[in-house]
Amino acid sequence: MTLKIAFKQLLNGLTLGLMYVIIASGLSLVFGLMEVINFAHGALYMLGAYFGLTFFRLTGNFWVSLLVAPIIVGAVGMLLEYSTFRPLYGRSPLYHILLTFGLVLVIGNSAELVWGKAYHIFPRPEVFAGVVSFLGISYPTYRLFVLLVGVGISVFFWFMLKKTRFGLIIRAGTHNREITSAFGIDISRYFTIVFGFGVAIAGAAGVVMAPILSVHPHMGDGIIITAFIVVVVGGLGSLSGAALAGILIGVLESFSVILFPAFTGAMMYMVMVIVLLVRPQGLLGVEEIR
Amino acid sequence: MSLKLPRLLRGREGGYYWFLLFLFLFALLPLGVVAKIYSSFYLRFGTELLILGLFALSVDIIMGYTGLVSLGPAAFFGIGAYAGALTLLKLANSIWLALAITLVLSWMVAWLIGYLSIRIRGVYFAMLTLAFAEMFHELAFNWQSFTGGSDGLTGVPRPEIGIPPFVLSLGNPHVFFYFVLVVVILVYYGCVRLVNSPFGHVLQAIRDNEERAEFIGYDVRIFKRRSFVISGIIGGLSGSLFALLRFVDPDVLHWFISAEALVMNLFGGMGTLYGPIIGAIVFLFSKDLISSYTEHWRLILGVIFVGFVIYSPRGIVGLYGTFRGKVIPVLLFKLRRPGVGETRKATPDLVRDANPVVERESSPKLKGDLPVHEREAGTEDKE
Repeated sequence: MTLKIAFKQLLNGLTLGLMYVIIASGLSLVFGLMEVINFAHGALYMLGAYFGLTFFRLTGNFWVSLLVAPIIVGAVGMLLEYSTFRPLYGRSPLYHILLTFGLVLVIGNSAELVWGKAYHIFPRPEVFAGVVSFLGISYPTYRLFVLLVGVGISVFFWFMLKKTRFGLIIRAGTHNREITSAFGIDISRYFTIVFGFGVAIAGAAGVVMAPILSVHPHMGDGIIITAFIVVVVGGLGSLSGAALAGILIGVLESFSVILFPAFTGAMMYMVMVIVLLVRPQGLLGVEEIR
Repeated sequence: MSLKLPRLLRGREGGYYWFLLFLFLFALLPLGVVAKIYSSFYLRFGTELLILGLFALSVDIIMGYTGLVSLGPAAFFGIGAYAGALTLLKLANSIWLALAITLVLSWMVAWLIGYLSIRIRGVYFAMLTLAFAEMFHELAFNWQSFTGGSDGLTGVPRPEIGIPPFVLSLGNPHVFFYFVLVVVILVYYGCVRLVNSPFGHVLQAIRDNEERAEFIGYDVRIFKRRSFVISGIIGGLSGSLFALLRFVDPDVLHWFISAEALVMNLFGGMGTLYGPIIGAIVFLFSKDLISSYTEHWRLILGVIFVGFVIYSPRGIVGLYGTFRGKVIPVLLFKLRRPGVGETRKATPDLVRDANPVVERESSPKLKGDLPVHEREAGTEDKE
């Protein structure tokens, strides 16, 4: 493996890793606040890609679909939270696992019903069609754009959570729900908003990833497991942990594709097993394991 | 004149034995094929129902009775399937050897996974079991020379049972059906005895309140691990029967298999032993029925499933209790928002919601003697 290939794989890994990071961040945020394990997160990511595709075909403008699709996915998410998640708060988290598993079936099959089973190609936007050359390698412009989007969303996430009043309330709710509501904050309203926000970001990831992968009803099935592993390896509820773990797993994955192709699939599970056995609370998790 | 039921069929444990009678009724299924009432497809289907019911039962031991949510039961199902098929293909054409190897192997794997995963709890435990199952899935996929990779193993011979000259071939669907039925009845009966034994009561104590069980002096970790191993062995057994029914490919290790087992448990009603088997029967029947009308069976099944999760967490066997004059209080309870002081723990309330019988079993005095916020103080703070 030459240095150039290594560099390219590093960039690929970072791109992939950042997508994991933004999908996992939504998951982690929802878990932190509501203690809900949302297996339907990947299905909503898939829905984002489909909405993006539809709007791209309607308007021919990539930016419109990048803007509108996440909003719709967020709205769908809020509706789901309100109608199905809400009755289950206060029960064992297992019911959320089961519920969201049911939702995966429903959303996946609805997408099949509307858009069909076929794989759809999402063309790259014209602006990013070419390649750029730097440091002796040439790299697709679109992948660099994805890299930037990943960084942008992560920074936005961080800013929103740490620097705004909205983020303050969410962090307070994550820390202690009861005391936050004792301060007069209607925390269950924030549940809906945070859920919508988390899945909207997953929807955005779906739109940006669509031109690299392709759009099909099962595109969310694999990524949800990866996203969970990222969340668990990073430490449940820890966003910086999710960022670290996402990039780590993305980079390891893209290197193992070249070095040990047979082990690529098992690699992230091995990482998780090792991390959980050595440090059960995850890389940056602070929570005591109950 | 009032009809007096036998002692076993009455009271708290009566349900277990009623279902045992129901299982014996299953023995009549092949008669319909002989009498040409339905095609032999249903014999095969019945065999599949029993095998997957056995698998769902294995999940009930660990989830419904011990309160551990494992997302990796497919590991044992798949290991059982591969162990059974590989023994028959490469070692000897003997069902007893295949089952023995399956049991030993799933015992060892379950002990190892249990040893490593039971050190941590809740979601982490669930994820770790999922990870181990997925690693076996990858292994089956990539170890082409041994497992046949994505093509799987075909042409698994059907062994014979019995002592010459009385020999029956398991290749005969009738013989195989009865063989599976006998296994299921024996395992089911064993599980009934198990959960009603002192050991089973410790498991249920752990499920209801782990700390309390620990304070009483039980080594909770060892009990959980034993339960995990028992569940794994039964799962392996069901997998190796499945290998004889169909061919084996890496799909038997897919996480979807684990998810289906959870669905069957919830459908039927976990923590009851018979609930999961009923759940398996209903799940597979509705899947078969709906998919004969529309290819979008997942959508319909998903909607029904979501309805069950929200409105009847006790599953089908709990429907009776849900509707018996309780509909309104149950709905009110379910729709209540989480309020101050309403905390929850990872698993104990899981089966308390799901299983009315258990609620009666565990002493309300013990549970209610401390206010909720005091009882769980210190465990709820996250950081």
